[in-house]
Amino acid sequence: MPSSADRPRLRDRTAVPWITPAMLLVVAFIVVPIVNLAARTITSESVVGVWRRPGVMDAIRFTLFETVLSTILTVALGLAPAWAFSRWQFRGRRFMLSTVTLPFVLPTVVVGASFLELLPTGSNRGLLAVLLAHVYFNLSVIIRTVGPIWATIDPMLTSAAHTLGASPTRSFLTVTIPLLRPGLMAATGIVGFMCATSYGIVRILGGDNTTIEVEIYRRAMSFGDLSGAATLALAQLLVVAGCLAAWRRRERAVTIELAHRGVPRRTPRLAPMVAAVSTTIIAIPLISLMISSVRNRGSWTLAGWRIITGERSIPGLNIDLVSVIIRSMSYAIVATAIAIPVGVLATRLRASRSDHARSAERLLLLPLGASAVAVGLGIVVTYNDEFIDLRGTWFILPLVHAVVALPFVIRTIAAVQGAIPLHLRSAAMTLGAPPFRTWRTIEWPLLLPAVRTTAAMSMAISLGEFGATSLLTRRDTDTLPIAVDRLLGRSGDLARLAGLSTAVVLLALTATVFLTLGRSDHGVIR
Amino acid sequence: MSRLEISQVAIVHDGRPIIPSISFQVAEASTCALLGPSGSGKSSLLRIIAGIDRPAAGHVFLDDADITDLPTHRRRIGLVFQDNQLFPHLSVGDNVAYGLRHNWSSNFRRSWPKAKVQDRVMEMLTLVGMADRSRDPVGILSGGESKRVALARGLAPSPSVLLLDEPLTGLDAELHEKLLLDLKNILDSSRTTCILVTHDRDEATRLATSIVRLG
Repeated sequence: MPSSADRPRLRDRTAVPWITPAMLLVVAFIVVPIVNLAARTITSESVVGVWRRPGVMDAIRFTLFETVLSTILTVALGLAPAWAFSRWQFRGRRFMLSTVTLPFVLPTVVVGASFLELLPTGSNRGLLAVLLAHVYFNLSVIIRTVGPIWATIDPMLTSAAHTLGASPTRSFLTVTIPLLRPGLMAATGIVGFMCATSYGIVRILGGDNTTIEVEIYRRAMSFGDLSGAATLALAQLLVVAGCLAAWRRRERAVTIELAHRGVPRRTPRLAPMVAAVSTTIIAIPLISLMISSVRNRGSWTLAGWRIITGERSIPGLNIDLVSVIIRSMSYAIVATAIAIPVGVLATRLRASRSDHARSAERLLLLPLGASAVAVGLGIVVTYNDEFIDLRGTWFILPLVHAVVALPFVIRTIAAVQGAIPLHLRSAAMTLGAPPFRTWRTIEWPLLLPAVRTTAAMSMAISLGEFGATSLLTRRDTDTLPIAVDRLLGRSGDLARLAGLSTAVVLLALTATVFLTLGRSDHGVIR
Repeated sequence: MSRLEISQVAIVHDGRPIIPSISFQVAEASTCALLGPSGSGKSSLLRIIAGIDRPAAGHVFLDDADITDLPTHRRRIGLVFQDNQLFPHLSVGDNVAYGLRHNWSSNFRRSWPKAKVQDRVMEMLTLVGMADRSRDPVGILSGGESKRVALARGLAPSPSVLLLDEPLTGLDAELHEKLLLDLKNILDSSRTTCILVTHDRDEATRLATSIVRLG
């Protein structure tokens, strides 16, 4: 297997200008705010004392506990649909695959609201609800990460194991699982990270339980303990960054190149059954949410929808939901318009295939490890004074959304970019194509499917972003997730119905963007 | 050593009959060549004998026992795949040891205690001239070396019948000749009942004691 060191390299300095915009964004909206927040608030007392403050150790314990449990459950339950979707063709596969991969891009408040309505009162707030929502949310990570690797394993390899006397279980454990290991490692890392930094789900469904991310919010917003919040945020950033780096090293160590899949065989009846069951399980909370938005105390009602259209209002609450919808869509478009070009430019660095490129790429993934709540707090502290008042501008939210989306854009496009053989570029150049024409005619068409997917992902991330937005938003910049949270947080049937209806609008917008622009299986599972 | 009988086996692909009906027997410790052009159903027939695919009709008997519905891992029939199918995550030695470590169903003739596995692996690798490559990853092997390892892996658990799917295809002339002679010696010395799929008449006549023509 040729290592990166064996491949020809371009000169590193050619890549520097490409990465500058992405670096600027990450430094300005992640590094500076967090460092500034830490410098202004963290004291030696808070570093030592925060761990003894009420709720902090409970939050750490709960975070570890729910992360381990959620990750194990997600991997265990995700393997069967990953097998069905990646290895077999059957009627309705494309539609079902789109449905089961939808939850990952759904806003956390939509998933939270769905489970709140679906689970019986009493069990809809607490550990069980959080675990179920995390599994639901992350199931598609297993399907999307393990599935493509499963698809490349030649089915004849397991047949070879059978001819040597291995039973189906044994061949699964000794051949399939070891070959899936790179995908399993990557998926476990992503799911673990998503669960450890979970915010929206835990705020809505956690009941009395809090994760570190929620505790950061509570410290800052409920107790005014900025120094405690900043200490926790910094500690979380360091631990998550360390874990991600260690995980990526292991991931690389176990990566092996696999043969193309062999002769297609007849689809076993179990495959479409597994796919159909997974699709139904994924669809149930969403359908339940839609029904709940028009049901109140056993009868049908359109009251919630009338509040959205402005025909009715909630006493004591002045909220123009049509404006919120338009604003959320506009933010999503602007955030995508920033994230995609900046991300595509940054991934040019991957073409250089150098060690510097990998280091820089790691820095650009920093928004993944940073607490969204802390980023929001940091921006409030850093860019909210008489000299720079970014918080008062309309573009701060789409800008922050773009930064949050950037790691997803870069990871996805960089993977495709890295797979484009260098000799394709060389061939174009030997035929007289200058660098830009080579990029436009060779690389860009190959990148386009990934660009479409990441554009959909960026829009979905912007539409659903809750952590940083909840701190940066003002009454006139509310987005859909904030409106849902605000409405569901109020007592009264009307507010609940309006919150659920708004969640359905958010669901519909995200699903439309994802299913039309994203084409969920494009370039992931063919 | 076992006797294999194919009785009125039919192979159909996508509703199209590839082999309407075929019957033949392979005697103990003999080598039978299935000779025919591409698409004549040779490899499909081999997969049916191994139990990977099911026949549209007919039966497969091993020592008079009907094994048509027996799962692959209980058949005691080894298969050396045309493209070798070496396990990419295991070393050369571990590939050869796989059938010795994982035949819990005890259907293979000999059981292999842990201590003897390594001896058997070395015996097989010596047989195919790869004794010094036991620790190597399979990814660095050449085509001819991979073929030898696949052969060693197939022979290691002493299957009742060994199936060879185009074992010498894709090798250059020199290597082809050398491996053919080696294969002849290995099959003679191991006295394994063998079915060999090939489209090369010369290969069939030199290796096999009987020939079945397809297509």
